[in-house]
Amino acid sequence: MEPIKIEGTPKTPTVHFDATTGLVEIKGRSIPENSIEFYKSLIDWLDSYLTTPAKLTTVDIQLEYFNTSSSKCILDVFKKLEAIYKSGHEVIINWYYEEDDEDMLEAGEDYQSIIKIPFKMCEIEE
Amino acid sequence: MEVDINSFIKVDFSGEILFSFQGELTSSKITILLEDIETKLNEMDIDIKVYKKIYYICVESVQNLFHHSMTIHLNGSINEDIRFCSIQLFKTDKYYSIVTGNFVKEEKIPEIANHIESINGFSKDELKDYYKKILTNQEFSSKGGGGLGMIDIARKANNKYIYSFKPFVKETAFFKLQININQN
Repeated sequence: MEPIKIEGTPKTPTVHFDATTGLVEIKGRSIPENSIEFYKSLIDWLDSYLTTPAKLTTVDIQLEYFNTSSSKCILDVFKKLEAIYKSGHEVIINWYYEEDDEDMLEAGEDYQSIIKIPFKMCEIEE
Repeated sequence: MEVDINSFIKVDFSGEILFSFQGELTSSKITILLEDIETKLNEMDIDIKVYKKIYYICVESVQNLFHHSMTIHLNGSINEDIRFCSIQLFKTDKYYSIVTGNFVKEEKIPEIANHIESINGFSKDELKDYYKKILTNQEFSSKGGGGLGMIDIARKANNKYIYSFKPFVKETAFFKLQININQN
């Protein structure tokens, strides 16, 4: 499987998905007007990946801002990862948030309560 | 027909205007507008937590306007309908206030008002549960998701909405929506 490498823009995140290493990384800002359009290729990639996933999939989510249009797409990403986890493969989600950014911590906790995958909340010092 | 749009946009307040926009929003215009807001916030001595809330709420508010404003014929000299809206950021003694304005069909008013009243009636925990319910249960379109934006703005601001509908022509109204963010 070809990896995905997308450079970030002021409205869309940096993305790095690699099936060989099991890395799923989304960083930066996710505030496009039409998130479904941006996330479609990521969801399609995960659909293929979940047929032959790595033994361990490490998910790094480090978002500065994400809009509610992206929130559903991020949930869709997590649902694909949940399917991998339920099929007996190891998956860990590292949810990064800046020190004192309680809103971003809470957003991670919201997903943690919805998705049945181990979440690790990782505080970044400013 | 010439319309005095300022009479619709005008907000009664005592404080400083930090940012103001009125006109038609496009995707590229949103990018410039958000950059301008960020530049303004960077010039200010402002708590980082409050900064992030203001910027986030501006993003969500501007995109709500982009997706949900109706087009309207405002000016006789321009023979076309535009998706007119306004956004203003104020600073008062206690708050930063974000006020948006856009035209809506009068028949939509009860639906919008009910949504806002529901949000205003929820406690912090109820709002969190409501957010998760909409996030997990509803289908989203390219326009957004079932009023999730307004729910999340209220969560982040931790304040109630102030809103009004002012009648315009041909069964339309100007919808003004204000949310305050505590300064600390």
